[in-house]
Amino acid sequence: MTMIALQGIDRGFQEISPRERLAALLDDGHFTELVGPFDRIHSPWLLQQGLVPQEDDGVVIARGMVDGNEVVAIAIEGAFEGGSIGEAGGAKIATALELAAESCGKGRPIAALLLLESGGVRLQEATLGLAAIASIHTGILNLSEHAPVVAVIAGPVGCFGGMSLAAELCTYVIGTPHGRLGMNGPEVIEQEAGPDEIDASDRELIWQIVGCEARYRDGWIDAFVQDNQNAISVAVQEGMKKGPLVPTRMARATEHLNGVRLAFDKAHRSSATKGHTGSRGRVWLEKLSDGGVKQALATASILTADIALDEVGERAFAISIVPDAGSRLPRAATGELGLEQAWALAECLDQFMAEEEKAGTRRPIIAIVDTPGQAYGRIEEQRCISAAAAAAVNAYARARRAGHPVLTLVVGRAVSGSFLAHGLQSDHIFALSEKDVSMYAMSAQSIARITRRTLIEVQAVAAATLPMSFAIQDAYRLGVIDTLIENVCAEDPTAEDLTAIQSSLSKALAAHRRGDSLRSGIKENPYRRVTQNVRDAMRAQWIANDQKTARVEFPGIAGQMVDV
Amino acid sequence: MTETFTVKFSATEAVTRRAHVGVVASGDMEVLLEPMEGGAEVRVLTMVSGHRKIWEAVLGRFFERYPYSVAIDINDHGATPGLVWLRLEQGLELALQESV
Repeated sequence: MTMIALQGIDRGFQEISPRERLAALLDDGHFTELVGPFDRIHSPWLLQQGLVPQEDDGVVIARGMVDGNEVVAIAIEGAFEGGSIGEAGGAKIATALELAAESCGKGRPIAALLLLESGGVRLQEATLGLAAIASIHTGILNLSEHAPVVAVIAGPVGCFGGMSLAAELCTYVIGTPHGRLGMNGPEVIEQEAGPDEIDASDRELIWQIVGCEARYRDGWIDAFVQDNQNAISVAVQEGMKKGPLVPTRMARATEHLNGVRLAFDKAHRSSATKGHTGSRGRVWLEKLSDGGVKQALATASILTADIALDEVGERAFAISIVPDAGSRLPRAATGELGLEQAWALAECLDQFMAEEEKAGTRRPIIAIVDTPGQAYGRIEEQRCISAAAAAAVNAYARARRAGHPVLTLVVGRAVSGSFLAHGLQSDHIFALSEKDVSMYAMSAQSIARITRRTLIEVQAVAAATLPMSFAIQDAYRLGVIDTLIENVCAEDPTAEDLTAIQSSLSKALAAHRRGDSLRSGIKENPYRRVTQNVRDAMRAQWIANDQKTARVEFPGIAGQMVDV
Repeated sequence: MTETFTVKFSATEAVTRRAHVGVVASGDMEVLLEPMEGGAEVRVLTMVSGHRKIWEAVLGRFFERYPYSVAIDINDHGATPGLVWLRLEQGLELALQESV
């Protein structure tokens, strides 16, 4: 048949579907799909907004082999909603990674292969997409303790937003000439920073910055190969052979921090910039620590302090990102997570952990969050802010694995990539239930531009759709925030407010030390049935797959066969 | 806004397996096709409302030519009638392949 003949033609990955990509990379073209389209666990949020869901939510989870070794292979459909990560698809990826790590722990190693085509968080499911990406980060890092996690960025969509951090966290990243990797898409940078910062229509410039060839040249990805099945397949096998090594780019925070400082030595500093107005992070650190606030690694925008939690007799290490009007890079002057902030954050956590290791203690870490977002800028993308933010994610996740309780206290804005890097990798997230305490994935203006709606439409949808809401109370309803604290002044906490917070933190800490899980969980949450369904179905099908050896034949055409 | 409706056709031939083709992307659609007994049933979910008559005409012709007893789910993102036909044929072709 003509269809079978297509198998012999080496078309580029650009031209083929996620399932065809999987068949091209997995031994003998065989795989078993888990929680596939016929399970019909689609996004519950798209239809509410007049959009048509896809039955697999754009994510294909498959089990198969690479070079005779078991892998879980995950492919994202870039054509569906730009490969964006929503509740269902995100839960599929995170659960699959978690199950692979569990299997490794039980002595049956399973590596992961990620075929990334993603614009990042699905803006129509913003809060849940962001939380899902945080779980994917955790999943990659937990698995990469045991087994390789290899990523392929083949295009045409590329890998952006929080998923670019996911790529940077992988043990081996492969790119092709059609792949791109960046934290903020050019349209978003232009929207947030103006056309002088970047011209989103200048394709040549964009590719010079975020194209995989440039990323490989600068050491942000590990392999650059032509877009054909054979070349990609060889690179994947190569990556798997490297084993579960954390990429060296993560371990060189000081080097990258100094690199940024040398290149932009006070270049953008204005003179009269001593004032630090409107920083809740600073206020909370100062008040909770009785004034013992320090700059981390001489970074004016990363502050740390020791906080005494007398109720439990512990001293916590607290960190916050604060505005620094004299920032070397202007896009990170008002409290954003920029290159300097992200690398310094990672490095200061590393240093703290090293000291603790020497002392044989595991003091708690408290992330105090009032961060308006990551820095949207051209220089930030050129120097791969994705890797810098990933280093911070990695540092927090490592701290947790090493036994440090990590608590997050949201006192202001908890936004997008900056929240992924500073706040979402924690054991428990507290937030003040105040009007201007918020959590979101992107400004309403940018959402309007990217999703091609008017600002008024976006605001109307945000008001009607729980995960698109900017209100912290709604993030709590969705189970993304674990505890809401009422009646505490976020801007200028009183002595009673501070006592209340210290008491809440102490209680969580005591529970953590007893070995209790601090996650509020979503089992009973009526808004998270889809996440729960994905988890249950994935686990059941995973176990069934563990037990059978039979595989499903993949026909190698634009579609798939599924066992009846 | 989206529109959804279900259309039934009489059909007698059997398919061997279920099949999934297509993608919910601009100008395309996703098809899930499963064996069913006693006639064909098509559920359409489309983001382009107001074209039910055209859908019924295309589907009617399809089942005249291919009277297979199947349950079909369509998630449509603005596919043209020509592409609708192509996707349905692709789905059917897969569903008629021998089981492995």
